[in-house]
Amino acid sequence: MSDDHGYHHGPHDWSHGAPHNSWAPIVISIGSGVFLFFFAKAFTMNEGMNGYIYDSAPLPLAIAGLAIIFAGLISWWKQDFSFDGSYEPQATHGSAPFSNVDIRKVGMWVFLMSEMMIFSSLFSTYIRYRTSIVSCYSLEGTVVEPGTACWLPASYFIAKGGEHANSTLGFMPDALVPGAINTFALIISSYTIVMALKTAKRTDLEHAERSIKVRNYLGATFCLATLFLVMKMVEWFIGFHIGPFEAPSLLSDQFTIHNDAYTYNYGHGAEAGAMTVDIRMAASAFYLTTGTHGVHVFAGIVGLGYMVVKAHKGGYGPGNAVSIEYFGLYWHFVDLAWVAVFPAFYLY
Amino acid sequence: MQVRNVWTVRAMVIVAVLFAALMFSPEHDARPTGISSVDSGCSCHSQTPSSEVVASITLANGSALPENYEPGATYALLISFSGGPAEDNNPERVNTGGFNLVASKGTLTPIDNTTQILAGELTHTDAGNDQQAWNANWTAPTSGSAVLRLMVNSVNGDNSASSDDSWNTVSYTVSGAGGEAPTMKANGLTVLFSGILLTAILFAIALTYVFYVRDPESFSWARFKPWITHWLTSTDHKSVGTLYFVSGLFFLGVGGILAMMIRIQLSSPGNDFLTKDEYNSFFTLHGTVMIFLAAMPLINGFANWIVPLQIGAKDLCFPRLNAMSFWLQPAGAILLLTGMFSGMGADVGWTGYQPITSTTDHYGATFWLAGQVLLVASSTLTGINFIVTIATMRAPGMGWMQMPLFTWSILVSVMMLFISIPTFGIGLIEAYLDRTISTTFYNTSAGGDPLLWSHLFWYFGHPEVYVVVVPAFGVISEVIATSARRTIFGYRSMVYALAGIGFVAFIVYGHHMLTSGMSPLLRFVVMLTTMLVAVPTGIKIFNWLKTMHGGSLVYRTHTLWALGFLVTFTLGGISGMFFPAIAMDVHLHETYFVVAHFHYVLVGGTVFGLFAAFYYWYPKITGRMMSERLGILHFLIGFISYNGVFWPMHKLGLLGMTRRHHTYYIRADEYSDIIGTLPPEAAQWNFFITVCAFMFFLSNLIMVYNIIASWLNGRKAPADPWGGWSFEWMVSSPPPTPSFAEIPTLLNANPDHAPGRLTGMLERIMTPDPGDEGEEAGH
Amino acid sequence: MEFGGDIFQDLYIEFMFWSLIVGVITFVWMIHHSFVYRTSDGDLSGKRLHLRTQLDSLRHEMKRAGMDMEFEIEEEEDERAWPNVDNIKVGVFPKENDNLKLELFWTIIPFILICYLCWISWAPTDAIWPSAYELEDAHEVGVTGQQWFWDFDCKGLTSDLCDVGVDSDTGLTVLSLKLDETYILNLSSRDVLHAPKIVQYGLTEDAVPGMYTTIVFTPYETGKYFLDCAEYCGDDHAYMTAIIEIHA
Repeated sequence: MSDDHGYHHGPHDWSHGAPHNSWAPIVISIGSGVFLFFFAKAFTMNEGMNGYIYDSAPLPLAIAGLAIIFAGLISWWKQDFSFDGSYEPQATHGSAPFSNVDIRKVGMWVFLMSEMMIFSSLFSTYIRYRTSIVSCYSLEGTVVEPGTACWLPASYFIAKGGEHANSTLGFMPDALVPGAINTFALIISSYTIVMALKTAKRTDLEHAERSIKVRNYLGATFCLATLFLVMKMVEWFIGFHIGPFEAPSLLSDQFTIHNDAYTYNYGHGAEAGAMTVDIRMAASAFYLTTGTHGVHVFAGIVGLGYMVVKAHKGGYGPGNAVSIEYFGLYWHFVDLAWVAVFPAFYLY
Repeated sequence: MQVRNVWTVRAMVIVAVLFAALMFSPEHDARPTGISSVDSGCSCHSQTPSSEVVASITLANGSALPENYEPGATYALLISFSGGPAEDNNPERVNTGGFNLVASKGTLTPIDNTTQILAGELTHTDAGNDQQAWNANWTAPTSGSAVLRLMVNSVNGDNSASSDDSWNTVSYTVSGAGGEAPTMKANGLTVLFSGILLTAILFAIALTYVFYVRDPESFSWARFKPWITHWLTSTDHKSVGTLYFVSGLFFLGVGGILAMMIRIQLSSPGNDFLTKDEYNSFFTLHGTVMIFLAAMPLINGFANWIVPLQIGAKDLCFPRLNAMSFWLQPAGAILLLTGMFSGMGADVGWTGYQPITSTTDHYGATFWLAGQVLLVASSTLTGINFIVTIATMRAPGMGWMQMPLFTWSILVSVMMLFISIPTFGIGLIEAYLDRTISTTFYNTSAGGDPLLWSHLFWYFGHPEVYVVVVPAFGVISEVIATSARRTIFGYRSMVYALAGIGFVAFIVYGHHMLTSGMSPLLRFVVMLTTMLVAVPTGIKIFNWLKTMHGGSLVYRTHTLWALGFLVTFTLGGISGMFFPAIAMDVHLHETYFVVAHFHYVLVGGTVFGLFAAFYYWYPKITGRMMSERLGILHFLIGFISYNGVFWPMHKLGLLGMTRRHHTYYIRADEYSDIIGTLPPEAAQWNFFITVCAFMFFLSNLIMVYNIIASWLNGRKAPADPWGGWSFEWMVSSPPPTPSFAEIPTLLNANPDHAPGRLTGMLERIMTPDPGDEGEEAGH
Repeated sequence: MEFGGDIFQDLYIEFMFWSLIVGVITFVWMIHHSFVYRTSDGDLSGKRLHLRTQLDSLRHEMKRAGMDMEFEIEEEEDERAWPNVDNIKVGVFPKENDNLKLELFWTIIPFILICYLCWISWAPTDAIWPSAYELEDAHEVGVTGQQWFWDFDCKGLTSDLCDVGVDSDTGLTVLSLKLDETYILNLSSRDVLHAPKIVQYGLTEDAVPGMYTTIVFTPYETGKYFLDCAEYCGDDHAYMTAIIEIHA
């Protein structure tokens, strides 16, 4: 209580350490609680447990919850904005083997360990079900009772293009184009964030010029990440109908978590056949895993938004370039997760 | 001296009043019955309900029952039925029909030899087995509505029970003179809500009172606003620690009230104090609240307060994240408890097995899942914070092998926690999505596997129970060493044992799924690894005992709780050894033996460790000394009543009493050829357990009172009241902010204590080379 | 028969024996040390504590009165006061107190005991779940759990070997089995997790929807036994009972 500045939001004087007070923690917690509460009220399971009852009334309140989270984040950023690296906590001399390493770097790596656990749990679920639920391909040609559960992977709709298999480029179906764009977008964004870091560290440029370059690199990363999410929405809901490319969305292809009666057509000519199967599990695993990854990209976009604004205001220089490095670590991890998710869910 | 005597007397009076209040605990309707289902019917001879059979109760003169009775008047009743196989013309008929009449109020009296009273219910005799109408008397009560419930059998007369016999039931309500009187039965939900509300109000009053007493003159909004703003926004580890204590103690009370509800329900067989829905949601929330909202916050409270002091750091490394860890807990708590007071609380067990969690119609389950997701986030952030703090912010001279054992225990605990809890988070999200947007992760019709949840849950759940008990180990190490005025025996092996426990915890979770269709090889592996966990734990126990050797043990309250811990945790560990022998697990699984075991290690382990920690570090945290007399009283009543609650549960489990059953039945004489119902001693033990449970609950109020009273009136505490060596005893009580004006250096009484080879090698790898071209500049 | 069945009882007695030994050793050791190594001299430190507290108040008073004197008491380490064999001092990591031989001793001995306990548990575990070739003469009976009752399927066995009925006294479903015959109970569920538990024999296994699990049951004593549900399954979980009747 003795160190109370009396000003709990707004620029913080970082020369003597981290803020002692902040409204952000309690506001973000309240927002998270509000969001989860009203989301659950908006979507409830129906009696037959094969669909949900959507009540639109609580949805604005759920969005209000997100807005509250954002408000808390703004409060946090206001304190961070003035951070210029003059106070960069380093491990103490007694802390072998971490002595002289930046504490925030250690923190980011430890955080990434927990992120590893999240993605490995998602992959556990995927592997568990993929190996135990019979694949729909193996049921081709047999008599299948309607509503049998079988695994029809997302790659059927994307890499193979499902029943459409339009292939403008010749070597890959159109449905894979958004995924390919996404992969390259993320890889290039990993490069641009590194460039932002290198530029911020340069001592041979004027501060104003350097800030513009950093802002541009960060902005490029921001745009590429946004492109990623846009392509994901295109792939899921809108469909890729640009120029000669014709790829229906997964939604219009009926690859949904509620589809317990998907008509799966296979073969040609004399061997053609159809069966009505329950593909909900493959869809659930796909949307949850790629969705979780997408949420992580979205979180990165939010962070990048802050960083672009701060870079624009000249907030990054050699003194605190490491802040970009820490975000870069997170961003590389997101990229790495995509490198695992994409083949497993889109190609295999 | 005067003050102390007055407070002791007041304490005694309060305890006596609370005991007297026990007398007024809500009445419940105990109905020891036989083995049949209480709700759905009598012990009738037939199985087939039929609407052809029409049962009726009228007055003997044929007119209908009155709407309102005269208090105390006696009515002659005619009990009869028509229809059913009794009325087919069967010349070989030996019997015709029977009945069972229960009056919720008033007294039934037979008037001839065709009826009798059996176990409080009016039924027919052998002589009255061949008729369709009987006469009996009913004496009205003085007040309240009386419900007369009649069940009749209409039999085909071949003197054997078969599906050719039919039965039906009818119910009449006769009200008291003022119309319907309110029933006097206590509603479980109302009692729960009142209990929690009362606790919250008392809490708020206590806090307000403390604030007032500190400075009566400036008790005003102008003073209050910055005070409350400080508490809502502070990121200082000491304030956050205090917030954890307040929240943890409150929810310890809530969890305790839930436990009391459960115990009242189980105090007699066939009890109906709680409905099945209420009971099911109460045991769910008791477990969840106690682990996530009581045990872990209290541990976090001590971690926040003590770890930075012990390692000589001014604060944790990410203070705002630390505050967020805390505030996510009340947010999660509100979600968790949604639906509890309207009877729709989560009723799935704290383990939340599938598919019931995804399919239960209690909407509280969805919010229970969501609340726990927030708690997962909170724990993960806590993990990051503490690992990085302990790894990077230690004072000079404090290598890894010079850290106090409490800090080590927090490190191991938090490492286990933050690796295992994201898995639980994913399981929760899958279940939450199942219940909201109806994904099919646990839906068997779409190929879902309920055992996936079991794996995801127990991969977290088993390390979780070590997460809550390992800090208690740390506390006990500190307390015993300080109380005995010796160095802890075998410091290095204590550290290795902690690390060993931390690692093995992850590979033994299968022992929770031994009866779920496991392959033989895995069964053996799980059996062996689970038993092996006893080795590092045993090392720790023996080391603690050896620490006392050659020491000078001073008996303070924290010493007593530490010794109590040694007793109960050893017993809990020994009882835990019975489960990995799978041939025994099949009998003990899901019985009260399990309940006894985990309460011995969780309450006798974690909670006793926390009590020891409270009495040990209270002077440091508040700057006041606690009353030793009240502490010893708390220990004596608490320790004895605690054992009275949980020791008999071993016996109940061996007898076969299954857990998570909202009621149980004991062997009644006429069914004695059916072996396996509980013997009558089970009812007596259950009642004994309930009485002891109330005593245990009340004894903890002594500690709460001690905390508050000592805070106001306790003697001022010096920096080092107990003679400990770690850094927290260097600073004043309470510590200033920042705790250390200058970071101290840890001296070492051992001559040779250079950092180990592994540390040296890692250090060389991780330290940037000097003279790089500024790549790492920016420091 | 004693609770839990014969296999359980044998193991239980053995485990109880070793538990008693471990418990007696631990508690006698603890009680011995609690008495022999106690001291009331430490309470002298309590008196010293009290003196120091008064000193603190005095200091406080003086400060309030504006007197600017700093003073400190010279403390003599009184050996009688509270023996400090390890010379514990604040801010100093204490002198080590260990004995490698002892620690190895109580690492290795419990390890050996545990290996022994594991070894003696192995055979009973195999008795509970016999391997396939021991089950050639077994009869398959289906047990399906559903909220909130048990469904038995005798699968074409003769009514002497397996019969499903209704108990006259209680109205519960009865599964009649024959003494000394080996039955494989194929467990499954139609909705949520259940677990049939033949309480007196101490046998249980989860009934998981979407898969089959088994209990191998060879009744060796006649009588009527309860089948409880031992996995929480919702509202009437406590009432989900059936009767297993073993006849000769």
